[in-house]
Amino acid sequence: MRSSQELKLKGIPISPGIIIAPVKIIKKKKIECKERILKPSEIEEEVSKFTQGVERLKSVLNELKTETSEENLKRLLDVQISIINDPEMQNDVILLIKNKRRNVESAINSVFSNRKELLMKHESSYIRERAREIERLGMDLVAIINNSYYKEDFKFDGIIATESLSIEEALRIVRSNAKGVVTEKGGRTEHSAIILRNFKIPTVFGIEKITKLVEDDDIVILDGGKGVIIINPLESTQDRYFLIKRGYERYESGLASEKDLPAVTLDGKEIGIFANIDIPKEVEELMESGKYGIGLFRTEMIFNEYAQNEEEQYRIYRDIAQKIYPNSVTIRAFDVGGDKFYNDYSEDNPFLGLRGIRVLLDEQQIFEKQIRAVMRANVYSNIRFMIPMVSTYEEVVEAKKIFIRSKKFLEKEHGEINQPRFGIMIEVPSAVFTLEHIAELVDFVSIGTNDLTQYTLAVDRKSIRVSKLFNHLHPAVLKLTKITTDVCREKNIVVASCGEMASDPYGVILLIGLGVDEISCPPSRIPEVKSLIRRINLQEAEQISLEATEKESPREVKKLVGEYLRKIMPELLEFYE
Amino acid sequence: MKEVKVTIKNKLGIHARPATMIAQTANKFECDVYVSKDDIEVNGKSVLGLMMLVAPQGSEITIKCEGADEDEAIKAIVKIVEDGFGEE
Repeated sequence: MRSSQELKLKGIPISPGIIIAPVKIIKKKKIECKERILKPSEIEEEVSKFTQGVERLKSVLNELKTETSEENLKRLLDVQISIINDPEMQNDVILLIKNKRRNVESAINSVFSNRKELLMKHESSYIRERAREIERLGMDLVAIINNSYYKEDFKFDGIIATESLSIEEALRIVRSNAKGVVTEKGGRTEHSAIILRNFKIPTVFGIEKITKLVEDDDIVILDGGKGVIIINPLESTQDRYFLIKRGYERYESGLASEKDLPAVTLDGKEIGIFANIDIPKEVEELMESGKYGIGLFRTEMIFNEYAQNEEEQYRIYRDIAQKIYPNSVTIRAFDVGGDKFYNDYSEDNPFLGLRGIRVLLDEQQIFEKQIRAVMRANVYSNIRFMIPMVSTYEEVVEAKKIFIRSKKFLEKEHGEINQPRFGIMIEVPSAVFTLEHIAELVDFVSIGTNDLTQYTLAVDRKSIRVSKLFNHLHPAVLKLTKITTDVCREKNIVVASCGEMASDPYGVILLIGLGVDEISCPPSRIPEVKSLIRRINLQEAEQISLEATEKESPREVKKLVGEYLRKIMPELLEFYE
Repeated sequence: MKEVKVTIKNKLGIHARPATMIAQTANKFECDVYVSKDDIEVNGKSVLGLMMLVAPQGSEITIKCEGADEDEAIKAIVKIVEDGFGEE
């Protein structure tokens, strides 16, 4: 398998940072769970193997817990300990041994995989993510019973290469002096990934066969930000990466040092920075990361459960508004398709069918409940309410009517109501071309760059064969953005932007240059977007953006903006995918 | 037998950690503990069983305790749920 040629492999970026170091392979013994039918005389001993194994694994986990100081990691271990302690799980295993005369390894294997399968079907993605970890724990139990469990030695001044990582192993790595990690399996949301990210250990997952492609002490370059591994790097490659590494370290400390500074361009325009939020849980993380408002709270996540429940919606919205105060939160009305309402309703072309505001006007009672909840929740006057998928002026007239009517009803019931600011998403070209009229009815607009690109270029980016045509840097998208910002400036209303363009450095330069006032992006991208804005000269960006709208293709736009990006923030082009 | 209905207060509902807290507490007592939501009833001492419940924020679960120390047990478990498992 091994060759002396330089070999570059691409995996999943888990935790950023660059390491150039020797590698150590940690191979795990394959855990055997072969089924065997016991002789009656063996049963007693098999049961006691199981109960002893449980005790031993528990003490391993407890030991790890006492050595860990982080509260949240202790809690993770508590979950594992109580799974091992689970009386039903234990009972199921013992019954298989006693009644079916199954050997302990295969009994454990069946019980844990069965539990995993059940949990994989759970409604909550949070529980589903735990399912695989439960299966791993079962394997640990088997390993400890047949003495193939041992605490891998991660004390190595270099990069650890292994098949996959359990939570305990990730914790051991954190406490060892290992510099980086590469694995064959695993995904971004696994606990082991989260742990390594929290402790800033550069990591790449998903490099197939890595444990076979390298030998101990081979030099490997690991680029955690791009998810790249280079085996047997040439000297020139190593030199290049030494420079990148040094640059990255400077870059990181630079971003951190600017974290609390305002996003002001070099010539003095302050850009509002907001976060996109999918689930209420993210609000807390946002509060920790620095105080930003929420530029897009998608309510689809609570649609199934609470669309008919005004009270519950009210509680959720009020809670978020309160937590985020004095910043603001933009709540987007349910952006769902018609299939959510009508059984057997399906369309040949749902993206051009019943969705967004079209649905809400069709199902006014749901729309009214949401409006009422939002209005009641606006105790701190920091909520904005936003209508998705607007394509005509009449839709906005109708939506605004319902909005105002709801307010009047509410005031009869609850006394005075703070009217939230009312806005629309700009996602459909027809809304852009009639914006001068629509603008009379709204307080703000937000350009949803993903849908605007889709509807402008007639490209479904989920369609594998055409998705390469999808590009938010297309001059047509830029022209539509320009019309939008021009109208808004004239009518004196705020233009925000959300969608991927608002966290793509090229996109950010163009949006700012075209006159967008606020940027909303995923929380993790905020520090970078902020640093970038602080390096932009608005006048220069305006010039470049204007030029970009006249280009013939996205490629030419990218080239033009790339030159500017290289000038103002070259580091950025180096470190990320 | 003691039976109490409680509302889930924390944002994430019953996930791994709350399930662990309920099971840890239930296991301190002699009595049998059952937790149910809609038509599903699980053993309150089994963390894997508790994780099977679909109990998001705002939903109501029923806790049942049966045995010598049922009074103390139900009080302790209800308190954990009402405190939102120490989460937001």
